[in-house]
Amino acid sequence: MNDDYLWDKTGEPDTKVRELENILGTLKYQPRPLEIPESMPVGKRRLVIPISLAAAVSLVLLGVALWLGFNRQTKTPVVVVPAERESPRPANVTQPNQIEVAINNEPAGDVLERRPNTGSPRPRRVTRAGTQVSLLRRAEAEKAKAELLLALRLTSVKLNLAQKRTQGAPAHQIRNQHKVG
Amino acid sequence: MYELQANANTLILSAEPRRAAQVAAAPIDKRDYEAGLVKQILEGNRDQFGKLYATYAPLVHGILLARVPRGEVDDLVQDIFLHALKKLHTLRDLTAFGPWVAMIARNRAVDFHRGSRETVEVTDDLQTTGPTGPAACGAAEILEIICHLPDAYRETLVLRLVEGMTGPEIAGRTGLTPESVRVNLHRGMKMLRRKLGLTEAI
Repeated sequence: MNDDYLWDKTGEPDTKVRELENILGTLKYQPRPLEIPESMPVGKRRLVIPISLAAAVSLVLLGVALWLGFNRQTKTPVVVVPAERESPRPANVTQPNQIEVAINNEPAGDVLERRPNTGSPRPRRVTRAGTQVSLLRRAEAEKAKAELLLALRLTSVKLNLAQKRTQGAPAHQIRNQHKVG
Repeated sequence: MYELQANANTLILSAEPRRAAQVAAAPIDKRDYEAGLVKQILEGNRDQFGKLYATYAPLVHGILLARVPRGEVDDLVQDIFLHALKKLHTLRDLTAFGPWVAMIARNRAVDFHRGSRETVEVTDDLQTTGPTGPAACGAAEILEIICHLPDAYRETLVLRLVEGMTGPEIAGRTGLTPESVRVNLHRGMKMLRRKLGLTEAI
């Protein structure tokens, strides 16, 4: 088989290849005019936004929308009492749900100044426009918390003492120390 | 991803991507000319599309002839070029119109078979009880035998034997490497000879 003739029609023609060319040549493409409809738009370059980019933008927008909606839902209106009022428990505060929410979500404009160590843990109020009732409730909660911690400490000391007595070791002996002499 | 070319004296490993090497199979001036045509068409001069059609219609005809019934080929050629004109703005490499339209033709042939419900069972009878030589059967029978060869061989053989293209022309228009086309031609011709009942000695 003459590969050169099969490849680029050079060299000595291969008779069988020539024979096949003659037979199959009858099926060769016969030129036909291409009829292009006038209404067909010729392809123009246009800005194609990739689908992935569009999806990413959509996700970001969706996330922002959800975040905004969530923030609006968590902001609960807080009852504000004028600063001149002296009573620690105003009579018009009768909605415990609102108070509890206000304790958990301290407003930005509310600043508490705590006393150093001694004395009551009750905070001193430093407000801009008025005093919030939630501060009183918060002070009570912190006082209860301090009492609870004190009780826990006492219980812990008592438990340690009871454990030492049950193990038989003297209470004044320091553990993990070797005797000398 | 890389091209390895070897002959008796040299071994060349080029770091160019395969696609770039394929496109490089066509002459540079011809590719530039065709890129200019595509650019003009995209700018609104649709009459220039006739030149691309005249150049590549035999290629598309051959690709389809190797895959779909002969009676459907002419209409499909027209459809493919109209589709190509409509989607020309999606052609990224303006120098690669030939490989692009060839791929459209192959995809259209696949769609044709997917859409057609009538199928013809291919049996070995065609090969064993077939003709004993090219002169004993007509063009349609030989084409039928070619169409039962592997994809890579039948397309190259049809372009060579039916459309009369040379190997370098096939490589330049389809985007295949000349080496691939040469191998496909050689092996396809060998299989065709065997199926036609010819031996190497003849």
